[in-house]
Amino acid sequence: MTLKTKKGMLSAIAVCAAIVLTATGCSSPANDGGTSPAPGGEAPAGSNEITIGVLATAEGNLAFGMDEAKAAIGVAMAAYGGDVDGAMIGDTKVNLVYEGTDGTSATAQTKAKKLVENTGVDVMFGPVSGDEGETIVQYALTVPDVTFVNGSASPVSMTLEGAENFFRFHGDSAMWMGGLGDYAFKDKGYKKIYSIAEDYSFPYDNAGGFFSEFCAAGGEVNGNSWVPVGTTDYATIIAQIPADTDAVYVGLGGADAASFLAQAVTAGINKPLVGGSIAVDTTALSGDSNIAAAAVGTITGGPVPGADFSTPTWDTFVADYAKQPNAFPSPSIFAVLYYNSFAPLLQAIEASKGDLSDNQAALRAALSATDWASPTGQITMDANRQAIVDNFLTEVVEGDGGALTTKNINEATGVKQGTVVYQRFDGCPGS
Amino acid sequence: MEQFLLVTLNGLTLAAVYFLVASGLTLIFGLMRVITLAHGTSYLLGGYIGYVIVRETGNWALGALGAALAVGLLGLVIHQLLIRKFQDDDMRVALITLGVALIGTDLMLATFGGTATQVAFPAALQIGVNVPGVGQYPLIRLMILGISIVVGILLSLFINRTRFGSIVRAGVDDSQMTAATGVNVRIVFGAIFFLGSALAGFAGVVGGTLFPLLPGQDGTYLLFSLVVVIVGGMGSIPGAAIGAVLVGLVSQYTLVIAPTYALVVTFALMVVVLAIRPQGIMGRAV
Repeated sequence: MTLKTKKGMLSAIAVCAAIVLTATGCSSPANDGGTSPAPGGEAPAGSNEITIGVLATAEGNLAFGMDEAKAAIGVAMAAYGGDVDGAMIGDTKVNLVYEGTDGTSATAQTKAKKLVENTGVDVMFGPVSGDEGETIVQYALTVPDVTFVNGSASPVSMTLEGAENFFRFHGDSAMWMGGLGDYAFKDKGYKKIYSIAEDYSFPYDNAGGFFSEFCAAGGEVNGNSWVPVGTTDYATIIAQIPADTDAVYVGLGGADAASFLAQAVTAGINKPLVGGSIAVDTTALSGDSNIAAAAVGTITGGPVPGADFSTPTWDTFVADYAKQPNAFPSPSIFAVLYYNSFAPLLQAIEASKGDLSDNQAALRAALSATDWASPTGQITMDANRQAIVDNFLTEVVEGDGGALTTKNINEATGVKQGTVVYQRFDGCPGS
Repeated sequence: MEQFLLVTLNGLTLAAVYFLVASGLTLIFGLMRVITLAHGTSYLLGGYIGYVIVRETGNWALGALGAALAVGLLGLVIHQLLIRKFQDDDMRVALITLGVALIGTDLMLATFGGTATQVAFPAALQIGVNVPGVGQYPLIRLMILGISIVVGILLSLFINRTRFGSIVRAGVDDSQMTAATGVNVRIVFGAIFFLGSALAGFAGVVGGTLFPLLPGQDGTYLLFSLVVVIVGGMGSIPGAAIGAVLVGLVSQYTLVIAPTYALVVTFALMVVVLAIRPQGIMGRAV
């Protein structure tokens, strides 16, 4: 037996704490998610051929992203008699090559380079997450002869970087709050709102979008709490909410949102809540915790309509989506955004007859000219190749059997991107 | 002033949960010199077991007891099968328990899913009570503070007033000399591993009543209990209590003063204590 000192133990503990941090804080290393065949194939002589490289998450906490991307692409390709591997769009043969990522910017960069530089794709489609998106835009600036169509990444800055070859067919995270600020002030009559949000880029944009509209309407922010991601005890934050507050803005997501909502019940918050785009999504609502008293009545905004939404194009999309392999009971935000982005790409390929000459000028002109009645409303493009879209305001309600679900309360049409990339703010954004 | 008292009370009730988790860890650390990185996993597993029992029986106390017993027994099995053989090799034990933690976390993710669950608590007790100087305060947080104080006192009595406790204290000071006096330290080690794991499981039910249970909480609680044990000193129950109170208060005060730096300041506390008193506040240098 060797004698050990506590000093030695302490250094061992320090080493182990580092191991814990590494093990719990970092995702597993990436490997090749996609096993799709190489592009090319047997193209009929004399016709055009376009290869599209698809990036989607196949590992990590958004591992279902690839299934959702393929379901969305499957629906769009089925309209042309094709499938997730390819289709004839007019005289143009379209091939698809898939690469899986783990949601980190490093992997997204590696996989995008592989698709562009090794596989030689003509068009890039994706990625899923915001961090990946910011990296892909930077990469797009270095390969101007490839056209990039965004998947579901939503940072505001992406279409303000001046990448002439980058297109986004859905709103950014500030636009996802479009219409909610006006609704909260005018329809709900909230004059003073207290803001609780996580301290990173997505809530800056998301809350920035809400409060810039709310403040412009005449509303007032009577306090901001920017909390670290991973905060579990909100008792002290809740205690800071001033008594004269009309409502509380909850810019939290995932576990943090669930923690907050549960404690809002035990602490007896009697203020109505306004949710950020991921505060009262299915992750928070489907859990088995006692949040109904706080969550019911929460209003929020986002690109996906409430459960009771029904239009012919939406219903058709949902029905077609349900036929895809590995589909969820209803399309997730990723399936909706990937479909709304991929369908215009196919339409542009059809309109430009697959002409990729002159740095893909005809294809890009057709993408910019998009004016399409998507399942979630009309989509047109602005000068920055950023979509002008409809946005949905929903409210959390108690459904059959007491399960929480969302109800459509309003639709903001023609929501345009602002020019502000939001940073952390006190009071109203920019004040 | 009212807010200061309120934040203090929040810090103390948060400390109650940290203390319950860390007291088990400090026993295992102090006596066995074993770094169990599966302690957070025991916390989360205890929470989930308690959640299932309470859902099926509607009895919170039964859930807490069942979870403590089940996680304690599991801890004992893990100790006997995986750790006992390599007990003198710190790094190997750390890696074994890290492996157990990773496997356990994934199994729990597969079984209970990634969404939030919470241990149910009688609705009649989910009320606010009037605390002098603070106003309305959630009864559940006060009850958890009470439970924690009772557990702390019982543990102290057990360690300080019983024969088994004196063996444990002797083991903390010098396990080789204790063994040389004829004490079967292997049995003591097994019992301590059972007790430490059971405390983590119990803490999981208490914590899971106040905060949601989710994948990832295991890592968070492991980290915080490591900080509490390092600040308070290894093997000391009063040390764990002092460490938990310091960590709880510091994290809540900084949430008010500088929320962005709440986590940084909590870990800075550990750095300061290590720099001034490397053995921890109540720890004894050997």
